[in-house]
Amino acid sequence: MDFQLQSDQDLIHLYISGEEAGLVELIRRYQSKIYTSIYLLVKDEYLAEDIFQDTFIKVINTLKAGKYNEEGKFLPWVTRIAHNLVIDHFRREKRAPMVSNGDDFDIFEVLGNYDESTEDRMVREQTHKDLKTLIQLLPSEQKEVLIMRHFGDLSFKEIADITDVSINTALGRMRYALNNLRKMMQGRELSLKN
Amino acid sequence: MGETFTNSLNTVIKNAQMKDREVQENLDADDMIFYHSIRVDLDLLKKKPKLQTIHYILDYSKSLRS
Repeated sequence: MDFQLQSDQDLIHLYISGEEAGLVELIRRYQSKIYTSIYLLVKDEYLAEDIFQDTFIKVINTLKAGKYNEEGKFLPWVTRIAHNLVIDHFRREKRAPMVSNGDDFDIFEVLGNYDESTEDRMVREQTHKDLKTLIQLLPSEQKEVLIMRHFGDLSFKEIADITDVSINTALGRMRYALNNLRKMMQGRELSLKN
Repeated sequence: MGETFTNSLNTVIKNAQMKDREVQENLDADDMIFYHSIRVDLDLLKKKPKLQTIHYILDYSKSLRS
């Protein structure tokens, strides 16, 4: 059987019926999106590994218990579990993951504190590294939406459900995230490949 | 006539709802252009977990087999 051709729902049914390969394919299919989403939020590889592991243990326990009921929505479901585990972690640590403010946050306040000399070291070949840095400078709410939208492939409706805000708020946060990224790139004269 | 009015009203409501959904699900043109310009670079940020982590998850799953 070619598992790569199966839908998520078919793979879940296969796994529940005892076919471990169903889970293997689901992990292969989404490991990058889920791990990257976690990693960009927690900024620590070891912690990201732990949360990724805990996420799939929850997934396995739920599937084995026959409690999964989100037809065709595997990735949003797993992303929600991962997101909740990240939130739990920061609640335990009692620290914010990053610069955090409301949606009216002004990115130039952050830029003003930035070391000017680092701009000289920003070259085209390091764009992705620079972009990662800039994403980390976004307020947590904006970073969350950007990551869930891009890496989690979630709709704004799904993001709104996960983060417990309205669709318009989720959409607004994405707009602020993009605007702030654009300002930061302009402020640091960072150019992109395409 | 009443039925025609109801049908027309339903169509108007449905169109308005669809329009709302389109607005809610789509960013402004400027935002979309910028977003598409950074998509490739965002993709470069993708990382995978260690194989050891995947093996741990799969071993855990197998341990639950009855």
